Amino acid sequence: MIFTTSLQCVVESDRLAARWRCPHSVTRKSLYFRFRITLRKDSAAARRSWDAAETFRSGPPKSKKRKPSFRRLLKTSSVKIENKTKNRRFKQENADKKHRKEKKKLRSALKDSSIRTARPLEVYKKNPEEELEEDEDDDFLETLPTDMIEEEDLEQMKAMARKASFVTRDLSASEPVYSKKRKGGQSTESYEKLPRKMRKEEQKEVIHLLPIKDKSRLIPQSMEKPVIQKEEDENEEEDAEMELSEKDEDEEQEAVPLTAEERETLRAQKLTEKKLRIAMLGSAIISDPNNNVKKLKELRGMLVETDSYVAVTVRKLVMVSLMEVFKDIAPAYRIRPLTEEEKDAKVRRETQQLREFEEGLISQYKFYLENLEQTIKDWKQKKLKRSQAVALPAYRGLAEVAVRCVCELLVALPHFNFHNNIIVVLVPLMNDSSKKVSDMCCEAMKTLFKEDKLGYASLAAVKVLSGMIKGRHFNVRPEVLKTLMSLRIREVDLKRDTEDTAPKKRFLNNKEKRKSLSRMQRKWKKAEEKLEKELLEAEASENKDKKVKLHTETLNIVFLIYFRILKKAQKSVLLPAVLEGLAKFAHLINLEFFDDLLNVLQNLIRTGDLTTRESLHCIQTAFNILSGQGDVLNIDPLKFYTHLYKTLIGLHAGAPNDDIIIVLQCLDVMLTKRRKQVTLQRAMAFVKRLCTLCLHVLPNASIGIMAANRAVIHAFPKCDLLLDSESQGSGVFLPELDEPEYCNPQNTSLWELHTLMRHYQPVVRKFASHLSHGAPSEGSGALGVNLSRRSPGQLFEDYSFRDMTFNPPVGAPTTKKRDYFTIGPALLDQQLKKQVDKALSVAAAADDASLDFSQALTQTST
Amino acid sequence: MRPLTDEETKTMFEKLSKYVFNNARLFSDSIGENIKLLVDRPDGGYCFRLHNDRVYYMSEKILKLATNVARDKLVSVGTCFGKFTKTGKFRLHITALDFLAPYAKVWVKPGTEQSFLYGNHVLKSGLGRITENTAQYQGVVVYSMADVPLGFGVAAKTTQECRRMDPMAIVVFHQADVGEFIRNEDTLT
Repeated sequence: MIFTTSLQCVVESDRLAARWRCPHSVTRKSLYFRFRITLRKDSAAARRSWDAAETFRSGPPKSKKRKPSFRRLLKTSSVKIENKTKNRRFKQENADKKHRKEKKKLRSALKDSSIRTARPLEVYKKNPEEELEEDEDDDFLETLPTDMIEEEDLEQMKAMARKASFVTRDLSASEPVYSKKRKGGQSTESYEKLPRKMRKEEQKEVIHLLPIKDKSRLIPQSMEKPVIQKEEDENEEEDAEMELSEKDEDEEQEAVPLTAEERETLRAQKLTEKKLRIAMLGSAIISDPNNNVKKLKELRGMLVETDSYVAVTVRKLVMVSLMEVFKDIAPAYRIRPLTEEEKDAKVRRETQQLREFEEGLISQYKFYLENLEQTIKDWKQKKLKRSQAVALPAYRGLAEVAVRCVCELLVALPHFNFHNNIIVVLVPLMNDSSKKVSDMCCEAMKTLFKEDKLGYASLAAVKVLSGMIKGRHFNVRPEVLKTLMSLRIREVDLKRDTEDTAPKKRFLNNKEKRKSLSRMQRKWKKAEEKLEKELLEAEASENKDKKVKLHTETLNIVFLIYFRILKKAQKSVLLPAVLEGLAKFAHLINLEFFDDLLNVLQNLIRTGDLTTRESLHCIQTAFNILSGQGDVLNIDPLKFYTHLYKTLIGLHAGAPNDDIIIVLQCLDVMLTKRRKQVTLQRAMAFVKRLCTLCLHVLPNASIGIMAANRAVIHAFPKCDLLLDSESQGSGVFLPELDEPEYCNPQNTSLWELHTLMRHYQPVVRKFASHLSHGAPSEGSGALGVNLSRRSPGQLFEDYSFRDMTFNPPVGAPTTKKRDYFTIGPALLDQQLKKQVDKALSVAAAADDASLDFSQALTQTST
Repeated sequence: MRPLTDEETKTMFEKLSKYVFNNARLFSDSIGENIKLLVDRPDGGYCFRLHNDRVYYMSEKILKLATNVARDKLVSVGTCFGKFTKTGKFRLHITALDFLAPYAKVWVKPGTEQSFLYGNHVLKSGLGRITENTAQYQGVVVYSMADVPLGFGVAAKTTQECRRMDPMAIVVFHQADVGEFIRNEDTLT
């Protein structure tokens, strides 16, 4: 410890000296200026962007009215209150300055580690005089009426002020004391940026004393008090152990070329040291997050580990452990920046502490995120930097870990600050060329959509996604679009217009009321409304209307994405995903889009270069649209029926028969649900064709289709015409005609059922015989409850043998008969067999004699 | 009685193709599938014959039998599809209804059925359902809600336009209905 301290002192003095008499100061200076300029530009832009990101969700500041005024409450004298506020402002200013300084330093640290432009930072307080910390003393001087004080006093006061500025600054901003001297911003070594252990001893608790009042000025007073060092909690060791084991796998991935035995041992030793350190810090933070923001900072400082032996591993470990730590300590609410009024207002000490913690946490979290983003960017741009601590090939591994961390945070902290920024980072990565990364991001996005109960996060994500897809000219992976399918949108607000008119009406009502109601009544009304408003605010659960509104907005963007693709990129690989998505959300589409959408779908089908699955999705989408509020349209989508009829026969019999499930859904929507609008001819034609289809598909598909047939027969009882062999109508059945209306299905019969009754799968047999009896719901031909209650889709899933198991299980071969026949010439009766065998052997013996009839014939003739 | 000339065949099939599911665009390449089915039926050969400016559709067996009747004594044979007017146009008769397999259909509400059968147009208020993507002036077959064909006409508006019409606007122009079997009993042959 002493060694490091002295070393740092040496380095410090050396650096200071170098600053003044550096031989190549010109280059350094030019570098420095360039750096400063970029920093200023960036910080302005960054402030804007991060502020914008922040204001995205934080609503307007609360109204002034609702704040209690201190004067009323406390009846204190105005002078006292003024003094108090002044006092507070003074302290706040000091704290702010420290804070700013720390931020600036960290920024420069980041810059050193990566020569790229500075990352945008979130700036809470906009202050034009950001760069002017130097005049701290002068500021203070100005505040004093110097002309009225004697010189000695002045000296003393200055000293005091300096002291005050030291002690009153924000302690959470753990800034080394000498930082002020460094504000020249010479390129500092990165190890200097790391928080030091020895700093712990320097910690001083400050007791603020009442300020001395001097005419109109205030002189703050305070006292230092040494802190009692807290022991590390021994109990947390186990926790640390656990975390260690968690990270072991990461470490094994890294391999340093083995040149010497010592190197390896050294590395292992270093790693263990670091791991212990990480574990200690992590457990300390988790055990008491409110007081350990500094440790958090220290841990984060390890992200820029420079020891090239262990840099990669340590960085990975730190990334993952920081992620876990943040997941644990982040509060369940969103931290919003304090408004000016709130800063000025007097708060209790606990509140103040909480605020400090929040501020510290948020800045650390932000830096951490920035670091992750930087890592990912470095990997993408393949730039060698960060003082060569990490080799280029290791970037990939680092970036993957970073992406994983960001993904975890995306899912775990959707309510917390900077979630938008996380989304912005992740969305482009969803379309990454590396499959591993993109899959990870897509999965995370899916989980986010699935688990997002409020809708804010999904809305933001969908917005960014829409921009990304448009920006890339629809040249994205289908998986990206498929994530949208997991959006949890059940209901939306389809009648936005009515809602828009509603508030207007209310306003008018108020006006009317003003005329009609008496003064007292109005007063009551006002009070009531106020109460209602308060109650609304106190409501802990998320308002349903709000949710619906958010969902509507989200869905509008989703449809925007879909329609854009349908319109502009019909040939792209995204089409199946779009159709699938449209089919899923079709019932939520606005009525006005129906015509166009139906036209587009019909054109898609007519062009005919869709795969079976795609065209089935088209059909499904069309009918989903029509099944919802499309009822009012009163149209008969003949083309879609014809197309499905045509497609049915082309369904292949092979193993991945996922198309069947779509067909079953289509049939349900098209025939069973629309029974009133479908003609008997059409229904019969479909029943016939489905039975034909049953013959060549896999058994589970047969079961599903026959179950669908059963539903159709129930919906159209006149279909029993098909089971009646006696009846005859006009015309001849045309099995090859692709028009269900005109193929004369009344003149055919379901002979397929008889073939299916001899199927090897018992359930198929059962269904076939059930159908051939006219699908009765009771009696001898009725199905069991377990079969009749389930939907075709369920049956299809239940009897699938995707995992190579048979349902119902195949019994042991009991067919003796079969064995018997396969053996060869053999007879059932033992005795008979013996006789036959004997006869045969005799015959064989007398073969020549008995079989030579010709000879016998010739003999007789002669 | 004679077979149709090329000119006559073309005129008649063009008219027919307005009603059947293979629409007129395909007609130039090949005759519509429905019309082809009318001629090449799986249950034997059928043919069109012209007699007294009327077109009759009959099986070849009937055709042979009909030769036994003198031309001036023959009133009707097979099914009358329609007649050629003096200006050379073809007009479909209601007797052809059974053989039309329409592309576009219109279902009328029960209240409007009678009105239509008396020879009136179909109004928007009486429209029960309509096939999607019906073009303007396309031939449509009118059905009752119980899927009984009632006659045929011409769509006055497209499907999309139908939705925005006021209830008293005409949707289908009347051409022929099954009421004619009684009203025009003597001229329908």
